[in-house]
Amino acid sequence: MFKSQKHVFWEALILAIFIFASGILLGYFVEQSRTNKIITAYQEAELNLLDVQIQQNLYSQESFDCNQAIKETIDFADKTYEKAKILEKYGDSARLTEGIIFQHKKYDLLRVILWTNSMIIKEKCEQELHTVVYFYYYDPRVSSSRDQDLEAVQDAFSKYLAEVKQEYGNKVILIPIAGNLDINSVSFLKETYNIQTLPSVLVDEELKIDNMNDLNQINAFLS
Amino acid sequence: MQILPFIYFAYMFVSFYFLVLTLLVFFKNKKHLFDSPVMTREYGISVIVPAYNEEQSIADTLEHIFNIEYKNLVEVLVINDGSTDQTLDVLKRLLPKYKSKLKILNKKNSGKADSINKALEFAKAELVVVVDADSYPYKDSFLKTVGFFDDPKVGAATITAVPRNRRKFLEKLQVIEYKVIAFTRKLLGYVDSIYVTPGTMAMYRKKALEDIGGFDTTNLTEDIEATWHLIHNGWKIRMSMNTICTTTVPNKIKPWYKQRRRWAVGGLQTINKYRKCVFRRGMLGFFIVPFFAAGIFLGLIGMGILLYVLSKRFLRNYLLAKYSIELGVPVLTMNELLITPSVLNYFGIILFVLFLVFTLFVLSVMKDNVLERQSFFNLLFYMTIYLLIYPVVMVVAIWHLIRGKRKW
Repeated sequence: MFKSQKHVFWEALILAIFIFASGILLGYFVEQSRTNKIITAYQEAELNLLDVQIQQNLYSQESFDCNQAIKETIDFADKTYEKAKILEKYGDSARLTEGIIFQHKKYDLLRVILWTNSMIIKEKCEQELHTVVYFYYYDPRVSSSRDQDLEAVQDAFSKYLAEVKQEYGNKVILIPIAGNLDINSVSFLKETYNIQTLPSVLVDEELKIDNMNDLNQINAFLS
Repeated sequence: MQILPFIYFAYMFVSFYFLVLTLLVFFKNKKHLFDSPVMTREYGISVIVPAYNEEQSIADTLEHIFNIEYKNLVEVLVINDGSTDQTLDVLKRLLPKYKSKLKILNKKNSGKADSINKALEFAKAELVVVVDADSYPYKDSFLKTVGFFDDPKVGAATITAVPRNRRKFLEKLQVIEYKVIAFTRKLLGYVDSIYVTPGTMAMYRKKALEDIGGFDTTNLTEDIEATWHLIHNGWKIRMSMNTICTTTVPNKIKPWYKQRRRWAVGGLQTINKYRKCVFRRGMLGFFIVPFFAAGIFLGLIGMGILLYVLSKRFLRNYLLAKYSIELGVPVLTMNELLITPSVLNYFGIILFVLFLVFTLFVLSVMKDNVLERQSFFNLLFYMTIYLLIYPVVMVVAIWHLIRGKRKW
């Protein structure tokens, strides 16, 4: 009546490997499609990079329409900021695909040029425009492996700056830049403005804040 | 890639493998799950009932035992294990009712295993059935089980234990648990890997018990140890799923917890005793010991990962809330509510759903009304909370073992 069926261990192993591997493959494709979206966005960033560079050349000329330039810069900065938030979430949830630090650097370069453009505009136009540059620490590891206090502090910084942006609207350009990716221009600017710790906020290239408790100085400075 | 996702995947794969294994065995044998072996001869049976402070249930247990439809019941040996209540008096009052077939052995308290061993010295029959003093075997229990012993290699046969008390919430959860355990144990029988013959009711060939020197008195789960010992010595274990014996399950958290801690400590003791058999001694070394050890290891790893991730997340959210309040910004924003699940999250959800469906399936095979709303809630609670307590109990059990505490 009773017949042992030990071969089922192997059958189960083969079946489990097959199904599990299919699942991983499917998961990989899901992540890959997200990664592709990020890469596409970063490729767009390359195009934008060229665009911003051209704008920079134009702004270096003697005459340009300040209103138009400010509007373009703010729109572009806002769009970049919103997109970056989505991309960051996608990047955070990646488990099977490699990090995309290289592409992230391009985005940071774009934001550096945006900042330098804003500096030129501020210098040449007499309208009220403020730059709030947020230097943060970019960590591509999974969330649970990161320094939780640093994460919380950075999230609090982000929230506060989002509130500032909401309050001052088009008078403020909010530019977040990863400060730890060894980008020469970022390093140069950090040195120029004496940014030594992350996160730090630099408002109008004058007010530097690296302590969370001092963030309220931004409001006082802007108003 | 980080180390944590790898651990996740390994954990999920092993869990998935056991699920696939169980299902494969089921589909290969689904027509015969509830079959009983044909009885070709009525073996003589001695029933052993170890009793410690069982004045409430011993009379009913004996009534059920004597009501079993079996002609060759040689004797029922009740060992009063130094009870401090009226168990002995109840037994003495029952003596005239059951005449010469009921024998009472009285001794100082020395534990369940030792009690059974003492009774074994007196047992006259070829087969020995051990029944807990609060267990009620069904009338056909022996008829449906003895047929296994036609195979001279079979040393023990186990049955389906079902909770008798099933009104309270904790009891209902144990109903689900006992059914899942019985189902998987039956399936493991098809690969010669039954790892326990629970004391609720188990039938042994007396020669087999003598071969292993009786029950290990130092082990807190003498039934698991005896089963492993029998397999170690080449005996086979069988299970009759449609042989039912009801038992009383703990209905309060404290006794439930103590029972589970005892099981866990006993399980660890047994693994430790047979650790050298890994990858030796047939299915004991190639499946049972690794299966048990992996189960404990995975449970602990799973709990460790969960605690690690949850504590990190809690810490971060706590800090963020604290900083947000300090800065006067909203504690929660829409951006934080938009979660982008990772592939690991999807895998976890799929695995959970698979196990949920599996458990529903088991309950339906075991004739349970799974569509009842209350049952489904119980099932969800069982899957999400009840099973999560196991690793915690295991940690306590390890701590107890380290500190040398080995009591019931």
